[in-house]
This record gives sequence, C-alpha cells and structure tokens, in this order.
Amino acid sequence: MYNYLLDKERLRYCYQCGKCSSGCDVNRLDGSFQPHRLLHLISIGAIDKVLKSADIWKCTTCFTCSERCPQGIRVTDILWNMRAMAVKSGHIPELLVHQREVLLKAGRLYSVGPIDNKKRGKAGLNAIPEEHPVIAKIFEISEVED
Amino acid sequence: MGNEIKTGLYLCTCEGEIGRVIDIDSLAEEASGWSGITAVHRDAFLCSADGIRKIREDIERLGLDRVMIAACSPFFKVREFSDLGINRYLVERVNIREQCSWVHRDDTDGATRKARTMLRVFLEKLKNSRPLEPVKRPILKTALVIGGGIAGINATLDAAGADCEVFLVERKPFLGGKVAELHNYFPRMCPPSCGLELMFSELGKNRNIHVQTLSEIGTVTGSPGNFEILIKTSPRHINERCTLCGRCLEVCQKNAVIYPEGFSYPGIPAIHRALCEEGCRRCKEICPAGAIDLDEKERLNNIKAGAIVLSTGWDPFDPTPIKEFGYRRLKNVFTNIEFEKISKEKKISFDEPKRTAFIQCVGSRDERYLPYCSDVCCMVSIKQALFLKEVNRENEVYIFHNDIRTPGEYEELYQKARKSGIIFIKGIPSELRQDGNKKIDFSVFDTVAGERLDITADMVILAVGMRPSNGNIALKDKIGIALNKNDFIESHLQCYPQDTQREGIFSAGSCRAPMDVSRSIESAGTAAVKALKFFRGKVEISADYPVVNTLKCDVCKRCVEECPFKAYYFDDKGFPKPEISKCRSCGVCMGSCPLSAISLGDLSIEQLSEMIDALDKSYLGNDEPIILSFLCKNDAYRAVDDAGIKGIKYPPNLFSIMVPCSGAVNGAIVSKAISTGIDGVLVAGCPDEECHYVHGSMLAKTRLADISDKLKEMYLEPERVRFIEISRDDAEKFTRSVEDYAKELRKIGRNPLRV
Repeated sequence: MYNYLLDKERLRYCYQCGKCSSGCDVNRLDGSFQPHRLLHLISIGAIDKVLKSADIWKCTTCFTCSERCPQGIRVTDILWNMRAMAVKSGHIPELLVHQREVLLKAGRLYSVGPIDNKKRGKAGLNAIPEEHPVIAKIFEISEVED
Repeated sequence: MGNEIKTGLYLCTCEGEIGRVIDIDSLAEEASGWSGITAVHRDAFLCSADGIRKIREDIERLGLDRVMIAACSPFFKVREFSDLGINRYLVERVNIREQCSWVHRDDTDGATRKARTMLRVFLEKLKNSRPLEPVKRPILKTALVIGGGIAGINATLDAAGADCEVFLVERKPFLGGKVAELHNYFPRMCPPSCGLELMFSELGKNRNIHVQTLSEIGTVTGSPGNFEILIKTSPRHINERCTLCGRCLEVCQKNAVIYPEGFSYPGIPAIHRALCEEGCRRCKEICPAGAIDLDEKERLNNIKAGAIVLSTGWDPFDPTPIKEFGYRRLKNVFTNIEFEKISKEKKISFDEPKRTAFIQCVGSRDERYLPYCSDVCCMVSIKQALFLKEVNRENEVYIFHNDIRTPGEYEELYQKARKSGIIFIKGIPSELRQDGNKKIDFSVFDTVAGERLDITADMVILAVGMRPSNGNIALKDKIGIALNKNDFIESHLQCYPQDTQREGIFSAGSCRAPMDVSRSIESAGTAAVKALKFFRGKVEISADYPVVNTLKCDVCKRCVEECPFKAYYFDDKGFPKPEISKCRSCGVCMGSCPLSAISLGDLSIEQLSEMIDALDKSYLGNDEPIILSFLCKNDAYRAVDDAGIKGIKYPPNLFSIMVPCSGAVNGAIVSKAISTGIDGVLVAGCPDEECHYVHGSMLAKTRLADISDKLKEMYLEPERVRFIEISRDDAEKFTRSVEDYAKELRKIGRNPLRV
C-alpha cells in the first residue's frame, strides 16, 4: 500500500511547493491542517504520525489540491487512503466510532430520539423511527461490517 | 567459383592465452588440408610487428585473396589488423580467445572442437565475401542556418568568419528573435541593442553571408553534404530604396507597416498586407523614394547547402490554461515576457511604491505543461525584481518559489537580490483573486515557516517557462530529425549536445533545451565548429549497406516500413532501395524481408545460410546440444567478450555469430538453423529502450515469437528459439542464461532434425 502511494499516486514527486495548503479551504479555517506537511511525513516514512493525527479526518475531499498540483499528485486520494489505513490500524476518532453505530442501527449519521420526534410532531411532521432493522439487515447482507 | 579462394589462416596462441587451452598444432595441421586454405601459419604474438609483416608478405608472395585471423576478439587490436594490404572485407577475425579459450579453459577438448568449428564456419563465410569500398561523396562547403535569433546569428557569424558561405533564413521580418524584445540580459544587465547592433554590423559586412527574412523552409531534399532546400519568401513590399522617412507609417490607418526599431536588421520596414484596407494605396503614393510595391508576390528560391544549423528558438509558455492564476482575466497579472516590455518601455509609473509578487515555475516543473525546469526563469525574475528595486527603492518585491536555481556564478545574482531586500518565500500561491479594485489578493503557504500568509499585491508577474517554438515540429518531418518528448531537438546530451540524430544537421540555442543568452551563444559556436569540421571531410558511407535482390523482391514494402531511419525509397523500377547516406547498416531490413531478398554488404543471407550448413551440429558429440547465438554488435557481443575478459566460464555448447543488430536476424535463417539440426537458437539484443537502432530488438522479439509458434505447429519444442535482452554490462546474466538454456535443451533432448 505504501509503495502504491509513493509510485502510483506520485507521492515521491512532491517538491513541497505548498500549493495544496495555500488553496485549501480547511486550512483557511484550521491552520493545523496542512496537506503538504502530511505528504512530506508520509514520503519520509513517518506514516505512523500521520495515521495517529486527527488531521487526515479533516479533509472535505473537494479535490482542489489534486486539481492544482503541478506534479499531478493525487493528494485527496492519498489522504483518503490514509483514513482507510488508520481504521485498519485502529486509529479511529471517537466520534466516528459512535457515528458508525448509529449508521448501522438507524441508517442515519445522527441519532434521533423522542425529543426530536416530539418537535417534529409540533411542526406537523411524521415521527422518524429511532432504529431501522432493515438497514442493519442491508449492511449485514452487503457485509459492510467486515 | 566460391571454392577457388586462396585463404591464409593465421592462428595466434597469444603467448599461451589461447595455446594453453586450444590445441593449435592439431588445428593447424588439419586446416592445411581444407579446400580454400592456401597457407597456415602459427604465431605466438600475431599482433606484433613481425606477425603483421608475415601476413603482408604472404599475401604478396602467395597471392592470398582472403585472410582469416584466429586470435582475440575483433574489437581488440583493431588498428594492428586494419592495414594488411588487402580489402578489409576479405579479412575475417575469428574470436577464439574471448569467446573460446578464456571461457572454456577447463575443457580443452570442448574448446578445441569449438575452435575447429569456428574456423570451418567462418571459412565458409569468407568464400562468399566480396571486396567492398566505402562510397565517398564530396561535401558542399555551404551552411544553411534556420532561425535568426541570437543563436542563429552567432552560428552564422562564426561559420562565415571561418570563410564558409552561410545562408541565414528567418521567418519574421527582422532578425534578433526573442532577445531583441528583452529589456536587458543577465548577469551584466546590458541592453540587447548593444550586442545585437555589433552582430548586425558584422552580418552586413561579411560577403559570405546571405540573409533572407520573411522566409520559410519549403522542402528539403538531398543528403548530408548535399542538401537542397526550397525557400519560400513572403513579400516585404518595401525595398532597399527606403530612406526610413516614416511617411508610410504616418498615413497607414491599419497599423500594417511594421517599422524597424533602432537596431533592426534589415533596417527596412515591412508591410503586413493582410492588415491593409482593401484598395488603399496611400503609403505607395506618399513614398518619396518609390520604395513600395504593394503587388509584390511570394518568391521561391533553392539553396544548396552541405550542412544545416537549426536555431528555431523558443516561445514563452502561455499561462492561460492555469485558470487559478487568472492570466488574461485579472488586471495587473503579467508574464515575465510582458514585463520585459513594460520595463523596457517604462509603461508603468513607479513613482508610487508598489508591491510586486513574482510566481516562479508557472508551467515549468509541471507535469501537465512543461515537465522540465526552464533554466532561466529564476535569474529572469531576480533580474526583474532588481529592476523594480532600482527604479524605486520603496518598491516591495516578493518572489514565491519552489527552489531558487541560480547555478554557477549566477548565485551572485541571488545574493545581490537578497542584499537589496527582495523577499524570497518558499511556497506557491494556489489562486489569485481580485475584488473590484486593481489589487490582487492571494494567500500562500510559507512551507518553511509553516504559516499561511495573506498578501495583497499591486502587480503579479508569472515567471512562465520556455517551450520549443513551433518551428521544431514544422521542420521535424521536412528534414528528418528526431524531437524528444518535450518537442526539443533530440541529441546525445552528454557527448554530442549540438549534433542532431542526422548527420550534417546541428542545433544551436533554445530549440534543443531551454537556455539563457550566454549558453545559446556558446552552443551556436559549437554548432558552427561542428559544421566546419563536417565540411573538412568527405561523406564516407560505410560499404556494408544493404542491397535488395530485385529478382526476389515482390515489393511488399516491409523493409520500407521497418527501417528505423526511413532510408528506403522506391527506385525507377519501383523496387525499394536504401538511400545509403541515411542508412546506418543495422540490417533491420535484412531481418524484415519475408523473401530473404535483402543482404548486408558484409553479411549476406546466403553467407549466413552456408555458415549454418558448414556448422558441424555434432561438434561436441551426439548427445550435447548446440546453441547457435546471434549477438548484436554494439552490446551483446561485447558483453559476451566481457565474460571472457572477466574470467567467467560457460559451456562450449554456445556458438556465436555477430550481427549488427538483433533486428537483422531473418526468420528464414533461424528456421534453417532449426531444420538443419541445431538444438537451440538464441538471439541476444539490447533491452527495447536501449536499442541503438530504435526498434531493432523489439522487432527481433516479435519475429522470434512467431517462429516459436510455428515450431509448435510442427510439433517441435517452441523453446528451441529464444530472445534474451543483454545490456553492455550483462556478462554474468548472459552466461547464466546460456548455462540454463543448455540444461533446458539437454532435458528437451536432441533436435530430431539433426542427422
């Protein structure tokens, strides 16, 4: 996987011009998210630092960096791969673990409780089921859990 | 007739290097009885003066018409054996040292048997050898220089200064090319007018020089040493009677008069007729000198030249496709080339201090546009930044860069820039914006500080790179040169930078690679010297070029298609024929011909066929497999020699024949080898991308695969033919493959076709 990123995704070619970070909207709001820095860390072999970092989860996958990179490095794809690798090595942010549970149970990213349904009732909207057994079944069949 | 030859066989023991392993005495005794052998001589030191004298004497005394030297590799002692008083194509070197005694030193019997077979086989080759003479053609001592920029002008002056006639052809109305548009040159910051003016006056003085502006290359025919070039000249509409009074310029309402600047060459304006108002003849009417002819037509003329220097130059990269930089969309965003004009003509007022940002590597070092470094932009931006500091010390100048590349003494420029207060930031902005006003906002990530910086600038200069001019592409097919993947002229960069792949054609300046003024002038000098050196000789065409047997040829055109140098044309009778000045005797045509109708001068299909007949398939007894290998001359053969030199051993089952390229091996020869009982045929050529003859080894590979398939159909083992890739340094790889192959063939068993 690591060599795949270096060669196929052209990570080796990064010469740290910083165009990915200067054009990044996330960086504009949160200066600690610096794609060029993550690329550098990965390419020098400090991949563990990247996998443990909360930064890889901040990317909105807008692809601006990939589009403008003069070396054709697929920055977004690389960060996306980092997330997968982080999950595999057990570095998942707390929030995401919770979201996953909700997703499996209800097919939604945010849980809906009695209070929410009460509000919906006042607004004349139908209640939403708090859990959705069919969704869980779908995930089971499609083996997402594995 | 073939048997009536009188061959002198000279066996060298090489002070024991050969004699210790191979039983030279018994070989000598045996060979003296062979038909075609007139004399046999043994020597311990054949390459010595005495040895050579002996050969020369024998030739004269005994009337020898062939010489066979069984000694070291033909790549050794080349000079010693080059002048024996007999045509060199009637001398055969049999390599019994590097490819026999050294590599089979533990197997004296096998080595002797192999050496005997080698003598037999190469004697058979000699029977059909013909004396050949190289073709010599005189060279016209005239040069054509294409492109009148700084490189072309200098190449012209240098060649003409050495008393050679030079034609200089320029597409535009005036000479000077891109440099005439510059404000000044780095590193000394002098204006181009200074240098160009001097060059122009020299151009005018020298009677050897003929300048043609507004001219383009039509067709190029002929061959190196004798090119014939058709030149198309567009009308200038104004002739030499012009006194530069300027009245035409005043009356023209369409800006159709292109007026020379102070130091232009020629100093005569031109009229761009396409811009003229229809029917308008005001300029002609007002011209007091009668110098204007609005009905002048395009002219054609022929130039004969021995050599051509290409100096087609460069064009700036157009940054419009890099949308995020907003070139053409945003105000006050210029390219560095535009800034040259701005600074030269002082188009912008610098009374108020401005903040200027230079963005480096625009287009350059970018996979999507120019994947190379454009070589000059760092120095150009520093030059322009220094100019800004000079016109107003309060100007703020930022240079946003990847790496600043100021090689050699240009580092001084970089230091000067830092000293002057120019700010260098490592980081490239991602996007430029403009909100209503004329200022440009952008943010950049300073990758050294790890901080995002928000910057508002009055002006942004995009340091765009250099790309080859369209002239390269236009000329590529016309004169048959190769371009590299970036459309610059291909050359052997380290050893022969100014030579193109075609003899007699050289390059000068930025058409070969991005260059600054100083390197362009250097390269122009080199190109001129190369042309002059070329003029001193005669075009000598090696005599081993291929000949098509028109009795066999059915004009399938395969040779024409596969020739790596596009040397084939059709003669008066419609048969393919190589233009020998383009041919490099690689033999790819010989390998390609389905009817085996093409033969190289020094290695014909018939010779190869008879050599295979003469090869004793049981020279190692009935049970040992024989591998016949065809080794390419440039790499594989030398790699196999290396095995001998390095003392690597391999079994004597391998019998080698040298071919110019693996692509020269014809399928019929391989089939013949198998059908006469040879157990395995090995063709060794270069890896695809290293092949000296473009695609020779690739073709060899395909052809062998076809034969392999055919063998299968005949219920023979497809493994009996094989291609291996061998580089110059692959001796170990080769010997290992031979050992493995011999083992494999032993397992497969004897070729059932062996008698």
